[in-house]
Amino acid sequence: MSITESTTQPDQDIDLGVIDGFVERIGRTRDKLIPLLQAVQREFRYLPEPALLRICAITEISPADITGVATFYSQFRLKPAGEHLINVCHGTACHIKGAQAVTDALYRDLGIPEVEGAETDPDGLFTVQKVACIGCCTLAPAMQIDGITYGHLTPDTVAHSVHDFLRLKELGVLSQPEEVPIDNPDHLAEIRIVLDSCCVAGGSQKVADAFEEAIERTGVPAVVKRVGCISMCYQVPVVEIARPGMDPALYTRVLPEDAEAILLTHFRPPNPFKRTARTISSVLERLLTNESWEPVSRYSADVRDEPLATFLGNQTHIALENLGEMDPISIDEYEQNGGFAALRRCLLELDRDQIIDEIDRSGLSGRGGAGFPTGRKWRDVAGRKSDRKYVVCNGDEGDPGAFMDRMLLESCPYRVLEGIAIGSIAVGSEEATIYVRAEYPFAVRRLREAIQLAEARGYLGERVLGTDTSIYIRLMEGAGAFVCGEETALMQSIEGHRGMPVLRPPYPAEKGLWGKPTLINNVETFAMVPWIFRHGAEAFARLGTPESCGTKVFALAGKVRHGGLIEVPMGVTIREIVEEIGGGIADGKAFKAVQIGGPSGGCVPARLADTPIDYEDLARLGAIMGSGGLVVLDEDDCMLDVARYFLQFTQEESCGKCSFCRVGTRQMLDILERLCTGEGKKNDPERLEELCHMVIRGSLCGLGSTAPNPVLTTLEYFRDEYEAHVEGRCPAGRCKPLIQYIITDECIGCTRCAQHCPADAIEPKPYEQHEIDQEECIRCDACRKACPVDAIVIE
Amino acid sequence: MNETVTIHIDGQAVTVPRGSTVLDAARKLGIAIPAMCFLEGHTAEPSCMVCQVKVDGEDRLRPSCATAAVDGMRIESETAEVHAARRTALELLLGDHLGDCVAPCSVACPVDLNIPLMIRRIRGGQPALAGAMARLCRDCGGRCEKTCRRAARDRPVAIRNLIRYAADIGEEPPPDDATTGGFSTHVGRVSPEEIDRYMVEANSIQRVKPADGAAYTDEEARREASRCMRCDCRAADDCKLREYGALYKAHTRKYKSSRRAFSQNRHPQGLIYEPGKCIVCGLCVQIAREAAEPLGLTFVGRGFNVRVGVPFDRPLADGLRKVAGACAEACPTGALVLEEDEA
Repeated sequence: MSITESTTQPDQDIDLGVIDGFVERIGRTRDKLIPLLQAVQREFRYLPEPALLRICAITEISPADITGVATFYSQFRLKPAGEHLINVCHGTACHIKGAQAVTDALYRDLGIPEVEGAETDPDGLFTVQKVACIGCCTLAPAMQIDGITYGHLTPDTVAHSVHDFLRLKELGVLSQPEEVPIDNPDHLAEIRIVLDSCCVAGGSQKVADAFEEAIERTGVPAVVKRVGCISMCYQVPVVEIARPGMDPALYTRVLPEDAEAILLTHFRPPNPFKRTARTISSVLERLLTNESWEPVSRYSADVRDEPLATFLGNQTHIALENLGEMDPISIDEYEQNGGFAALRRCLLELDRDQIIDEIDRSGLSGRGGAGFPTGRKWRDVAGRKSDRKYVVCNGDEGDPGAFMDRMLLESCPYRVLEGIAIGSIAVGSEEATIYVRAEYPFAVRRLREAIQLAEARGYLGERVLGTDTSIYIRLMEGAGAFVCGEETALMQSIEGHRGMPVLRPPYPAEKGLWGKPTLINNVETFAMVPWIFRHGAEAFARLGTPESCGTKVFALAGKVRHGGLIEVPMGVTIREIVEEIGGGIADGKAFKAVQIGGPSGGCVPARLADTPIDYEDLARLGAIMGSGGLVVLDEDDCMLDVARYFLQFTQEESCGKCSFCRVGTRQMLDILERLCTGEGKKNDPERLEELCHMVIRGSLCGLGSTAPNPVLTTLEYFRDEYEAHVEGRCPAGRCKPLIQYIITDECIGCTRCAQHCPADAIEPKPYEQHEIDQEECIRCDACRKACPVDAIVIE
Repeated sequence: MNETVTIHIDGQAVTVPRGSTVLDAARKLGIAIPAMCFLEGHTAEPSCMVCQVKVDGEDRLRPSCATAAVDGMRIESETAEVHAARRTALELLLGDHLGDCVAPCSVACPVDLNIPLMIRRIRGGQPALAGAMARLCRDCGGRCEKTCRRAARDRPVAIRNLIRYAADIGEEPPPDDATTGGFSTHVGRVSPEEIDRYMVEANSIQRVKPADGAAYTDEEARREASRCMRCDCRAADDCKLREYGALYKAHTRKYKSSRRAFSQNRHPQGLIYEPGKCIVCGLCVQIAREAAEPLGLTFVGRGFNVRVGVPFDRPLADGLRKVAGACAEACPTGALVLEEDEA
């Protein structure tokens, strides 16, 4: 074939042997396209053309397939990148907490030119790209540099994170060690440290290392144990000291240097003189010389204290059961906590009808967003006649602001696997695929390991538990496309295509993966299943409301004091979640609205906060449950900016197939852009509303038909803000072209604003009232944050 | 199992073989549901959403080309509500459509003279036919030249000189295609870079002055005619977007805001691709795939920026070696057209 010969550019020296190796290992069929591209990109950090042509030459994959797929998924790069990739999260929580300002600062600090398409610094060291939610909403704004997450960024300090990364690189500690289950045969005390993506970003790996070292040094009888998320994401890193027969002690926001002090408040070292001069730190000195030394109370938070008790107290944990107690990959611990009992029962005691009846009676409905009754779906697939059926677990958690699936996969992988196995038995499928989004590398790693360990134990694989039933679960990594959360697009993606939704009906239950009947459920739905079989359908159905049974996991983030993952019975009110569990709005600001359900959901105003959260009530308000992202907004948030943010998101993530979504959402975005830049026209709100209804009714798939929800709800509940923008005002002071920063005569002339200004728009004049040069001002808010006397206001 | 199904469209019953679509059934009844992305004999991959119908009891509308007819289904097709939705679909497509159905000179002309066609006839050696058209001119003072796009490069085409030249030739009555008019989309102002791309169609010589100071010679007229940039659409009479746009009274600028840049991609065998006119229906992608073109065509990118292109950014000639003609034939708009023999 001439295409492979004629085109290789001489400057691209690619070792094609490497590509041949990938093909050998991964496969040659069409469905291997995405894994092959992922392998190539891991090797070269982009997709060099000769490598792609080589794939065409030696597999059944065509050039059209490759270009189509490589340009569809945002993970794939066709241009060389810098040595390190900085992914700045632009999820909802990050957006409202200033991700754009952080990105701008990063561009300035790295010297990336401000021209269209530029994303790499002049030395080729860093490439900066915006990414959809990385699922670390409580650390917002956050970014990942080569997989290491940095949180709580500010425009001022983002450069420190880059330096920290370079320092880690110099120290050679960037590669993460393989995880192995930790043995604790002697039941020693456990130092439990949460190690999942958020906590590691918060520094928990360093804390864990510090504890390991401290145990080594002091010789106290304890082991450091990695546990899954305990969902108190606003308090990371979190350490729990668990001694047999004693109440556990919980420390939050622990620093590495606290490790030894914490250890020594709970354990008497076997031989105090083991401590060598090298290890005597100042803390230790204090400890040795001062009997009345106080334990590190700065960071300790006894679980009985407010407000942590509230944070955990009102919740009911089903999907999140045993959170923070179990080593996520220890299959022994999962078994000790009742794990796989449900699978055993389903396999050995119940027939398929009984399994489905149980799920039916529990009232469980799909937790991915639409809330379709799970039992009905299972029964539909079970009743189909086919030589082959498939099960798919949808872990393409794409809603910015939602991260419960990531946490479940990272912290309770066996629970999800058990749920999938039970679903497979119920519908009569031997092959299941878990599709996990590309942005969750940590979840992928844990899941891979968990699948292996579960197979080794006989819970998965050939002849499960010695029966005739076989269940194979494989993992597929997504490649960065929100639309793949839509079930038909997801199956297209598994088959190696562009993730373009297909018109339903036929539904997957009739014609799904490879044209066969397919059961597709979300991660959280499967995670609920084992509990239902251990406690009975009735116990589950008793929770929640008559129509919406059970519990729902929410990712609480935004302007709330305590963000994190929560699991509550359906039907609790928005107010209970925001005020009681979330501890109210941070920084004394006023609660304005809560965004529920991400880009498909809506904004519910504070005045409707007594609305119970269940499928029916939310639908009535024009919002939807979605996957359960709850982003709390305060008085500083502009509702048009929020609507525009989501539209921008769906616009970028639209597959581009049908006219209503491809062009319609773009037109809606254009109108919102106009309004946010002061160029709105008088009838823009009406025109926007009309277009919303057209897009809802005319779009091909769920992405398009729900995309207008954030706009419609804000139009309904915050119409006055739309009118204000038509007049060129932004009441929340958020839309940059509509605002000015002014320094009032409260100014004490401390020069701090001038020092923080990245644009040199303020001349430092000690002891005089400062002034902002409006021409130079980039409205980054750095001066206002820096001012000690609140003398900088937005007009 | 019954081999046929019966459904009702706008109250009329129709029986069709099982496996038929609602569109098939409607066509059997003689109801002309508009369809752009679907072409008989190809797989329906609904994207244009112009063929929408309302299925009784459902809120959302469905593309009839891919909706299977199910026994007892009740469909609404020719209702105000459905027509409004089709109109919106067309208006959205028009909002992202870059092209002039009719050239600016014709739009400005008080008698809707098809000036570019007249010019081509002068250039292509049919001066008598051109003359028959030229005699329709009412000499309004040269609105045609004032709007000529060529002015953005150097000077407008000397349309009035050409008309004077042609009007003296022959006695034929005006042909049917002498005037244009009706539904038209408009590109509007173009940038210097875009003019460069338009210039591909035109001879870059200076404006030709009649050597005798009065009238063009045949040779001079042909040379001046070659300066025309041909900004009218090659598919003006064979474009479903235009046809349905006119039929459904779609506003061409209702959803106009930012627009794409004009570009054109030419195949040595006369195929011309204008991405700005593409509605991304994928018919050409499908045809190339079925013909097992070695490279073929594919969707590139996603979202608003999705375009049809040749894999690895190769020239169009590499992408379509076998089925260039079939693709142009299938294209519902003027995005893929074959360059005609100069008329």
